[in-house]
Amino acid sequence: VALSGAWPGEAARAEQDAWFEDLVRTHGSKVRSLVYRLVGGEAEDLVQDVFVQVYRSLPGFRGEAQVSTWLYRIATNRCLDYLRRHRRTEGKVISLENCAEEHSLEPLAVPLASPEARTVAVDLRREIRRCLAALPADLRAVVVLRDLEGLEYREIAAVLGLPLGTVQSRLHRGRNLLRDKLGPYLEG
Amino acid sequence: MRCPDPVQLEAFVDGELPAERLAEVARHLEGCPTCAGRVRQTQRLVTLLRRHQEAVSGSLDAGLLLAAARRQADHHRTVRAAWRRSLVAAGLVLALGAGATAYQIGLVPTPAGFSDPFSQALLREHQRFESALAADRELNVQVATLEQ
Repeated sequence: VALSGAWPGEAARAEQDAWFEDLVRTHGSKVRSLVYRLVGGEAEDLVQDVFVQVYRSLPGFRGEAQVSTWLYRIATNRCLDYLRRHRRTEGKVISLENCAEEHSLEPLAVPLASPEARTVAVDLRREIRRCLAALPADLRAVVVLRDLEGLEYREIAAVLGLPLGTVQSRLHRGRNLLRDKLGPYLEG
Repeated sequence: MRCPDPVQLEAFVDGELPAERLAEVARHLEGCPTCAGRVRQTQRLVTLLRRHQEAVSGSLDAGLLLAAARRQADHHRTVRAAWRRSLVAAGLVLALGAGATAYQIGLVPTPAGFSDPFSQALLREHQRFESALAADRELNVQVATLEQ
């Protein structure tokens, strides 16, 4: 069953399972990246939790929302729940700083001219990761969904179940905090 | 035109303004260095975040995830069924307990407690039937003795 096709609904379990596997293959990496960006180093178990939740929610999926929006909603809510339950880990910079080494986070390919430039870029990436991790979870979710995942405002509103105005104001507050922290890197 | 609020300026950077508003803000930016500076800073921040974001390497094993999901779903089904059975059993025990208690404290009337005429008549009829049955049993015993 191709994912481009509609959700098979109350079809045989084998068909539903095939659809689920196709879903993982098509959207798995994006969901995994999102989970890592939202919770950092403790994400591996959470990725599995998200897909277990997706599997359990399949019978309720009516195909009215886009599959990606629906997946992002489950993943984001699961991450926010996790962060709420482990509030003490917010700003627990160490685990996020180490997550690249521990959990195979790799930088996107950026052409760098010299070893010095590479060192600067690594430091900068670490600083960005630290600043994102220090944001309050509700602001971080909006910034990650917009600036890293590239979702439109209305998609973020659908994923988080928020009014458009709230999405805009959270994005503004989140970016303001980042601007303050990353100020030196923004001077041009 | 007055300066747009910062949220509008960010919507401008994100391409989220309707076309006519977009044109207005663009015209405003040409003559307002403060707003133009804010827009530039937002653009730099967004570019910085995008250029230096990290991707997670390695793909997910769909079969493995499916197996885990099915295991969890089966586990939840088993737990739910066990809960349902426990609830039914607890309900039965409660109902029996409540009935017995009600009977003991007299909430449920004993036969002697029936006071309405219909119940009294029914009771008298029942007693007559019990007496007749006893007499019949006595007669049977006598006949059996004589036959021996």
